[in-house]
Amino acid sequence: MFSFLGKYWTLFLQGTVTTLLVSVIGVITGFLLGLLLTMMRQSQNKILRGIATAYIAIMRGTPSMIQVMLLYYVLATALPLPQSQVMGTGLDRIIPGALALGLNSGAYVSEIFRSGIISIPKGQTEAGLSLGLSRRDTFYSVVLPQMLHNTIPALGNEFITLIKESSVLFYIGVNEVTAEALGVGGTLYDYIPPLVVAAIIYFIITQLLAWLLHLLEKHLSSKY
Amino acid sequence: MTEPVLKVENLSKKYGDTLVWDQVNAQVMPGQVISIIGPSGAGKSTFLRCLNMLETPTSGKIFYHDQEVTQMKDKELQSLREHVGMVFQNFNLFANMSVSDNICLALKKVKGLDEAAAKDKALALLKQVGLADKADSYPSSLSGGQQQRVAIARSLAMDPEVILFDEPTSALDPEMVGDILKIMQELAEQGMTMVVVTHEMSFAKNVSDEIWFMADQQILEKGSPASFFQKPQTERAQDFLDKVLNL
Repeated sequence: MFSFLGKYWTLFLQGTVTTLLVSVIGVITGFLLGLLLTMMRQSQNKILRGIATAYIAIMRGTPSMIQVMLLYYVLATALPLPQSQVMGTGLDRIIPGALALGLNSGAYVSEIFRSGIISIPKGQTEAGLSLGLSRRDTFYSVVLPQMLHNTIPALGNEFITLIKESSVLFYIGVNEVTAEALGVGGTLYDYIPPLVVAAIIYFIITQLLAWLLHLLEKHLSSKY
Repeated sequence: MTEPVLKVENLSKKYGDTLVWDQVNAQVMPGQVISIIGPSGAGKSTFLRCLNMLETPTSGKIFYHDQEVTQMKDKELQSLREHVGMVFQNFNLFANMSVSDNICLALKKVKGLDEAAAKDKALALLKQVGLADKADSYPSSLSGGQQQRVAIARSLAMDPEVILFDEPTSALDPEMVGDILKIMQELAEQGMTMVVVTHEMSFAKNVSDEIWFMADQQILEKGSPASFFQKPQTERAQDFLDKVLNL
């Protein structure tokens, strides 16, 4: 059933590397953007708070596939993105694709961070303030580290979702695992075996990530 | 003539339409130990928390020496809180930091000490509260009494002029209460100015210089412990003492 792998394994390998590449960029972008949005929402400035709230509402309220395609077409027409190929896909597709994943994920990460902040007792902030620390120092030294610590499980969930969602990049011609599986399926006139292979690859990647996060969680919780 | 460290003029606090206390006047002199006692819900903690502006009073004025606290902006409040320390009912140690880092944080960020100097000071203070061996532990591994001792050390690290204690023993196991009260008594003997919200009548009676009895939206009585406990002026205070002393 899987004898086709002998001939096509390089395509799956390329697809896997591409999926990992866009996911890593997406996760990093999403994490940083989530942090930025969280800070904007904590700020005293109404406009910053408004922008962050509106951004989150839009990103959560529209399909990621449309976001990906819109960003791709907008960036492709507006900017001279490099055409050079990475793992069989042009950078002019990989960059907007990975970015779109991150921009979408940032909204969810920010929501995770918000619940993380809510879960930290007010007394922690009050203790910081009562020592003469600024609000800023209290937030960065006391609240933020605890928030990150408390949200690791939820963040792990979000990143696993992002890896799987990266399959929507197929629609803008990024040759990630799903795209490669569909390509191979078309050649074979049989979609089931290559899709099963793709599913197994996603499963292995997400299990690996879950395991790494578990180790991180254990490492951190051994402290406090 | 000595000036009061803290002075409160016509201070009122409302939550929505609910009046917590109204037109309160009081002052704290240097070296004084004041115990605020009274029934639950009288707004004792709220009053204490107004003194360092963790809560904002609705109207009235608070002075720290000649500076009006109620007018202060963030920066001035930071410097006020450096001088007016606070110890909380639930300790509020920073959960993400070791015991010594709990003390070092503000020493570094507020006082500008370098790592080594902050650490030295933290260790000396931990020694003072009998916890030198716990410097590297995390708060979650300490008992309530130990956590409160660290919190007191953390507050002392800023060399405050006054320390506000918000029911410092209410969350402790009974056998831990004595440790904390002993440390507080030592501080009082060293001349530290303290304002203590407490339900520990023995502390109020034996350690403090003045009792403020809060009830019915007022400080109903102010007086020496001897006069207050022997001859309260109001029926409300008499009633309160009957209930807490004749268990």
